[in-house]
Amino acid sequence: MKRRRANTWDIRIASYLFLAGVGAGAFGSLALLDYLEGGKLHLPTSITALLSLLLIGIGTLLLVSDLGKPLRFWRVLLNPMSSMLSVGAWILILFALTMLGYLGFGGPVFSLGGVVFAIATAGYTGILLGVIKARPFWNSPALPLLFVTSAFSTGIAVVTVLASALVIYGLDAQSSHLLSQVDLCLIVAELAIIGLYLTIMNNSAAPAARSVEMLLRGKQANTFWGGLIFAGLVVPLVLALASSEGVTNLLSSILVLIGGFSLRYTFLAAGTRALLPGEPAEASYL
Amino acid sequence: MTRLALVIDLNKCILCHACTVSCKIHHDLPLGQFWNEVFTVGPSGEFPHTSLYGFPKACMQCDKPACVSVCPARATEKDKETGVVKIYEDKCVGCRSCIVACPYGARAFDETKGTTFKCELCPERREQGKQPICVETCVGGARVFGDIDDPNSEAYKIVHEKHAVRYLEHLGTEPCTSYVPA
Repeated sequence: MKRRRANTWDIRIASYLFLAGVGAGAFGSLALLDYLEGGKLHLPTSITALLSLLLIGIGTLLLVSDLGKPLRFWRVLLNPMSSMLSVGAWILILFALTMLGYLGFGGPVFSLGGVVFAIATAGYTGILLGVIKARPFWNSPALPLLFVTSAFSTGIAVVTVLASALVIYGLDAQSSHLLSQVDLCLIVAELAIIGLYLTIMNNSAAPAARSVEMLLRGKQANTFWGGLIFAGLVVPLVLALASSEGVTNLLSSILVLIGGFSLRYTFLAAGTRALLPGEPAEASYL
Repeated sequence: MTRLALVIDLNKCILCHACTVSCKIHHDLPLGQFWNEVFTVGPSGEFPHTSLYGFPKACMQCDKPACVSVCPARATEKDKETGVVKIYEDKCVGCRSCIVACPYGARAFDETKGTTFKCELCPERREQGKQPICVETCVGGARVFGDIDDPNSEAYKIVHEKHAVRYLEHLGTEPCTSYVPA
């Protein structure tokens, strides 16, 4: 029997999780650097704030357009404590306001506040999925950790793209080098977290093990191995170790972004639930 | 407290799908969407000791519904008077968090209306003193509807006398719909 695909969360939600992560990671990493350097990086941090606002704006538009009743989005804001989704909507607003505050006034309060809200924004996208008990593959504190790691890694990648595409960006060579070193560490950390995550999930409840199966050998295997592991993590790692030239850096950054999207897409799609007696397995996927 | 729910005797289901069909017709559900579905379990075992039975999936009308705690619009709740998990069409934003969060896959999305819908045990029929449509059309008498907290109801008696079981209880949703094992 041919079944219609379940009307749940699809590529638009995955794109939103990705864009919110990139926006948060980009501003978060530059704001931290600016704070540590005593405000010397105000120009590049401001340009990054504009880009992050744009990315988060696009993500939010995707999120609202995904609603069955987009014009009722205000109900989500009016019930702030109702659910993780509402809390997240407010975190996004506060993050955007912090960035606007930085653009208007600069200074350590807004740069440090930006770092806090960047981590909150990137982390909540993982908690949003993590609190859904019906899908055990997501029920791990390592999921927000993984999403935060990926957010900062992809954020630095987009900063690298900006730095090579925009002459006026004004990020000094030393800071730029420091960021690529950090990104290298984040890529290694992300590989390690994914490895540990899948090992533990593979040995837990049946639905989680089915999710791992789906990533490693099933429907999501091409995107997981090709997009996330190979293109998104291993190749950028090898490139970064081989050379730190501008062109390699740029290529590696673009690959990291592909990996960041693949991470959100595959982890979202792999969240399966337990089956009732006789229930066809495909009904349990998103 | 009143908790209206179904008790389904898996020994009496003949896999005719009348409950699914009558539910879809009565509530005018869109193509591909169901509030109740009958899964075929088996055939299993080796001849001549084989078995095959139906598992009618329904909303479990949970006491601690996973779908309610993820709703960002407060559009769904466990009704205190009847124990039915209700959804308010005029409040639903159509984010489908509840569909993702329900461990039983009991909720459905109406693309044309843009909102989520679920089984509320036919409130419009209950108002007229009738049974939910799936119960009325069940030819095998497998579905019994009633207050599982009222010792005088048939549903209560079946739950207790036939040791009805509930599914996926480890998730903590405290489902009310129960099944007499096959």
